[in-house]
Amino acid sequence: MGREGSSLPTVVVLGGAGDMGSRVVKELASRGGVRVVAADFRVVRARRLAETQGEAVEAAFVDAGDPRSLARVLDGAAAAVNCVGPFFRYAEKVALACVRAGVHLVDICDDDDATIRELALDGLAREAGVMLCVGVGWTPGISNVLAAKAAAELEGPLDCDITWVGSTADAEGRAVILHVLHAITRSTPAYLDGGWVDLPALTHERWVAFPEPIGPVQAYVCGHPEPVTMPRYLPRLRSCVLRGYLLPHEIQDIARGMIDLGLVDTVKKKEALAGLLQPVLPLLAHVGDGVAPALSAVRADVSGLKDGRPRTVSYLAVDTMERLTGIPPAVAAHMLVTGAMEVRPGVWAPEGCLPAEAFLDELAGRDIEVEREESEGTLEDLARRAAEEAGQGRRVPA
Amino acid sequence: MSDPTELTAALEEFRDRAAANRAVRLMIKDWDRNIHLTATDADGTWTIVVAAGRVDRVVPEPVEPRHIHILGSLDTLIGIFRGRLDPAREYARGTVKFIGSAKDEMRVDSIIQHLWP
Repeated sequence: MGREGSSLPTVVVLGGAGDMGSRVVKELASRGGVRVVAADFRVVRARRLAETQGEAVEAAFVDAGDPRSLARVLDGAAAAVNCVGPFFRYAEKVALACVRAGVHLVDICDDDDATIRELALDGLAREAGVMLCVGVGWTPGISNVLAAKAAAELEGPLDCDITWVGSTADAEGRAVILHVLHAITRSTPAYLDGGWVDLPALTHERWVAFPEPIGPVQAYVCGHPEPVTMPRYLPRLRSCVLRGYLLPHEIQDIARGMIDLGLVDTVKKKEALAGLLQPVLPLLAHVGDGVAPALSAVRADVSGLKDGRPRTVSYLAVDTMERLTGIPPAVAAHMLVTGAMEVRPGVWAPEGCLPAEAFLDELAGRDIEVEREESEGTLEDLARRAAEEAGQGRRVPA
Repeated sequence: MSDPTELTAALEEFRDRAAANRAVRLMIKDWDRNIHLTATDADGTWTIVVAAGRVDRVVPEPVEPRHIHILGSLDTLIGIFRGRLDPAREYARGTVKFIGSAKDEMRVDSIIQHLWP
């Protein structure tokens, strides 16, 4: 399904001039075999990007809040990649526009509430013959695939902890600030003892070990889609909890202080605060003793049984947020339009639709390194060891 | 005042340290940048070329296109790239000027500080 004058399938990258979208555009252009449209509200910025990417990339204007604008830019495309955040505002609007336009979608939606609303579009998507792959970024995305990979290595009832670490020295966009404020100021779904429950954000802290220069962190529950989607595909899952953590460490205290002061208790206040925080992110990266590393990370720990004994299998990746978030949707969209991934109408999370090994091979080809660890015991044992390491001031070897 | 060759030596050490540091190698993946350093008291510009996931080379002349521009006295630039001076503190004191995006500024800062923790 190419556009006029091109036999190549067209992939429209919505938010294509943004922090993550521009990475998706570049990745798709470098893969070849597709025509790429960098669609953005900031069309001048999109044009500047397109000019650097050769003939296969062009720019277009889109207003993701306007269904007619979305319909115009999606017309004739084979697939779209949605990078327009915050996703609690735009994800299902874009997904619905794709269903109406008959265009397959890959997005990087990282909000649990928006994901639930996207999952509700399953019937419409099936009827339209459209595949919506939601949450194919860093977390969710790589996180889901790694957790499913770990789960496949174990027997018995499975417990899953997913943890991300994001750095203020590694983030830029206003949407990511809004996402974090959204994620830490609400009750958030977790899956415990075979059922969904709401847990207050910033609670249920657990020590989690990451390689240097991140080291051990005391992560907390926050709003993310993994606990919403993972149990739908992994019936042996008994629990799935997602935690997050921001660098530098002192940001946690600042976030709690903002909540206590009532600075983020309405959408309007969150918008205003995000506007204030965006230009001072470089300063926030310095609020600790040193500057935060310009790196982000994700870790999936799954415990179950191996030879009748409790074992935990872990997979983790450390890289920059832009690469971790921007490469996976480009890989998935490319797989979708080139036939490397089966088109299955409906709404799918990454663990349900991506060919895991081929997907991880593609990430490895782009130098995203995935490490594997295996240890005796349960998730609690793993957390205890991480706490001991943190308490002894021992850093985790890189 | 230091000799300009000292800045070249400091940048070469910076390049070698970056190559040996895993965290820095992770931070500069897909981050291709020409970082110009202008010594305001020595009338010279050096370039750190970051390409293909590594600090590719340092040269005592401008390499175009310029993505980042750091200006300061020779002593300040040597101090920063030898890890003796904190770039953020020098920026706050006004002894060094950074021209580039905020994200690039954070990355340069983070790289330097993780080479000399």
